[in-house]
Amino acid sequence: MSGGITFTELTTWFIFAYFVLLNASYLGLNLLSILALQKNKEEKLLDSLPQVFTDLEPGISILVPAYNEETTITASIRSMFQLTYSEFEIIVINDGSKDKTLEVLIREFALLPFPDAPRAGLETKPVRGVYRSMQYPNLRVIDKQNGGKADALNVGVNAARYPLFCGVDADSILARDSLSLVAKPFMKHPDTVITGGTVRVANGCEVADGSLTKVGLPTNVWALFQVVEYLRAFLFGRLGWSRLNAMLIVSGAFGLFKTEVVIAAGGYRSNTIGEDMELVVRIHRLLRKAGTPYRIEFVPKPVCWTEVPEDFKTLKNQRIRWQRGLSESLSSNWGLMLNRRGGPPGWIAFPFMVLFEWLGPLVELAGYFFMLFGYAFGLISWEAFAVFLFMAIGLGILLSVSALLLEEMSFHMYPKFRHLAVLLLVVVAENFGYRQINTWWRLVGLYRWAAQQESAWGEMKRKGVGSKPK
Amino acid sequence: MFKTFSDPYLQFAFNIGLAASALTVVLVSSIIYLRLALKRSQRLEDAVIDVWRPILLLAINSGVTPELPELPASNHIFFLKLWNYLQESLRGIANESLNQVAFKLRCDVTARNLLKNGNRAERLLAILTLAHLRDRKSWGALVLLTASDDSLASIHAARAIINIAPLEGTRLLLPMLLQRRDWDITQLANFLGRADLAFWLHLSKNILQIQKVHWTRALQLADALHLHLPIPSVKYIIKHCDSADTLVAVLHMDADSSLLPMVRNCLKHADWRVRAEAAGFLGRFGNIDDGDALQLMLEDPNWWVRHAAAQALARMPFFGATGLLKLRAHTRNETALAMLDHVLAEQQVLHP
Repeated sequence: MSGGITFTELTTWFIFAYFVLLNASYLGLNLLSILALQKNKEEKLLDSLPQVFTDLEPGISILVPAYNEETTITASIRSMFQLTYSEFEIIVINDGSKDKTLEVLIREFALLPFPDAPRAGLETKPVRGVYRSMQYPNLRVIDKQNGGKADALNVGVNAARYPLFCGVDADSILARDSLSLVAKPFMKHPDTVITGGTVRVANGCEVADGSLTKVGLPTNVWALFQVVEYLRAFLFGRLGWSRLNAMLIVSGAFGLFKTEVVIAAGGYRSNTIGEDMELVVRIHRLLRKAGTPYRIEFVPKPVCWTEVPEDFKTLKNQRIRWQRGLSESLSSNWGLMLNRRGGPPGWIAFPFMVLFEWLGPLVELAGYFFMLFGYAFGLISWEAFAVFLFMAIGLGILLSVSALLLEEMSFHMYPKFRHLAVLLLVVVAENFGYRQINTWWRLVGLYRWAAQQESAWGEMKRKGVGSKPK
Repeated sequence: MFKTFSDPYLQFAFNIGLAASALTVVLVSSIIYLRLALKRSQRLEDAVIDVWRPILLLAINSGVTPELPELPASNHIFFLKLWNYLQESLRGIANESLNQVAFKLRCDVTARNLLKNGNRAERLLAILTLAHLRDRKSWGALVLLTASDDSLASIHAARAIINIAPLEGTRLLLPMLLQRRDWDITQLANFLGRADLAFWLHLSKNILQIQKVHWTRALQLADALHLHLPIPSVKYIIKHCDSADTLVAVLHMDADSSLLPMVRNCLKHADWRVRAEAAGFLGRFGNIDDGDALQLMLEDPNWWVRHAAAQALARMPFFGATGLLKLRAHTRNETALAMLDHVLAEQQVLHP
């Protein structure tokens, strides 16, 4: 090496440093998660004891936004009646479905029109009618003009009669004790405003009457990759951030919110795709600004199972939407970034999200292209190229394996040795192509966000998780 | 730059990759080791359950302690887990039968040792066990534990103390029960259910000495346990409290009509939750004159207050659903009308 630092050297060094920093941050989160899971493990005995309810548990309104769910809605709602909790109601919001969702609900649950007294609250699209079940007094169905998931949730928030509400996807499968688990932090710490539960992949599992009866792994390769992704995202992503009270994402599939806090924050934004994340980031920003003490906590025990896409196109669209959602959430709450009162969310989580999750795809793909380009044009030796790949992929595998370790330390939901062997193979394999494709999709999402394209309900091709895996 | 493998930058990156690979191997080995250890532990636990579950169930059903096989030290934890699970699932004489088995197996000694020398999980198990065994010898250690920062260990230690000596325990712990916000109030209500008289006695005696900030929690606990506090104390709280939360809690409790004059003063409180609770109170204890005030509340700007007022009217014996129908016939205010329709329909769903 002679003379000053060249552009190639500087860029290469930047890319190396970025990859190392990215993975080191994730490993840091991983360490935080290990501490949290260790505590959780020690308390496992108490969690397994029979639960007795008092009159002091805060009531929960379960909000189920539904759009074209005629095939799954009945089983989903029936499974929700099996939930063990002292007081809850179910509010299904039919968001102008084009299929027979409403008719199915009316037929299956003996619904009758109900003269619901209108209440001022969040602004929404017009409500066409409210129905109450003659069989289940705690079930209400609201039929409204189509306005998207966020708008449907806002209608549900307006109608909720309990201090807590839980947004649940119509196709989610909830563990019977899910409500009591996610409600616990509200009872232990009265300043809790949101809790998020762990979501796992339902593909490959056996389901009967809307309840999960046997955990298994999917045979579809796209779904298998997502099993590991969900482990990574929930076990050391959110759990780590939760330790710092800096969790910016609560899954739309299952999260519990303090109703009055959400109303005060203005509810879900209907012009965004990532309405769940945007709301959480906004609540952080507003409560930090007001100097109100609050907690946003994550419950690591798996409480919700969801069907993930099994085909390339649906998966691609989902990831593009997720990245757009992230972009919207961050850009519309920029005031939190390095804010004087921002605390860990503003000084650690937000910059992390911006650097590694938002701009990450740009830098990562640029890194791969730069290395390929440099190698092709002789700017970089083959050794440097190989070492870059060795480092990037090696760190990627390490991260995925560490997520699997956390799972093994805590919940071991996948009981067979064969499951473990498959997962070990997948954590290696996903680093050779799948993660890179994902990065590309995220980049497309970033572009579409910048181009401000219209948002809509995400379409999901369902195979149904009720059937036994082939 | 980066032309040869001897370049220090390249070497650095290579070392990172190497370290990541080595760590991956370590983690994979740990995963396999953990899985093997888990399987082994599950096998042992299943074996303990197979032997001891029928014995414990026999003891519960017959009320007589049967002949007991030897319990090796290595099985103590698994046995105590099973034993505690059954204790928590059952009530009454069954708990005593289980205690007899535990005493015969010297589980009290085991639990005391675990409390002293165990890790956190074992200490939690020991606290649970000692609570069920009402172990007097552990009193000192458990009292010390109640002051610990560990929320779970301390609340379960409090439970043990109250189980061992309800009267003495609640007297000793009353300040903590009300002050420790990290103690889950639903858990407290749960275990105070077995010592409700003792709790009532100390709370009634001391409620006016308790700092105002703790009144809400005290009232919530009393309400969950369906305890009636002395009316003069309740009146004092309504008169002197400066928190809407406290008013909400006190109005939610069972009381009597002697509070009506004070409750009527709350009907125009700035906090809608207080107005709603006051309406609910009138529904339970109000007289015919309160019907007028409740009818006015049907036009309250807050939905929940209107709802509580309509429900209160429906609940009043001299008003009821028929009264609501009559009221509806000559109500002109649209907001009030909508609420009357709503509550009438609710009555139909709940009492078809």
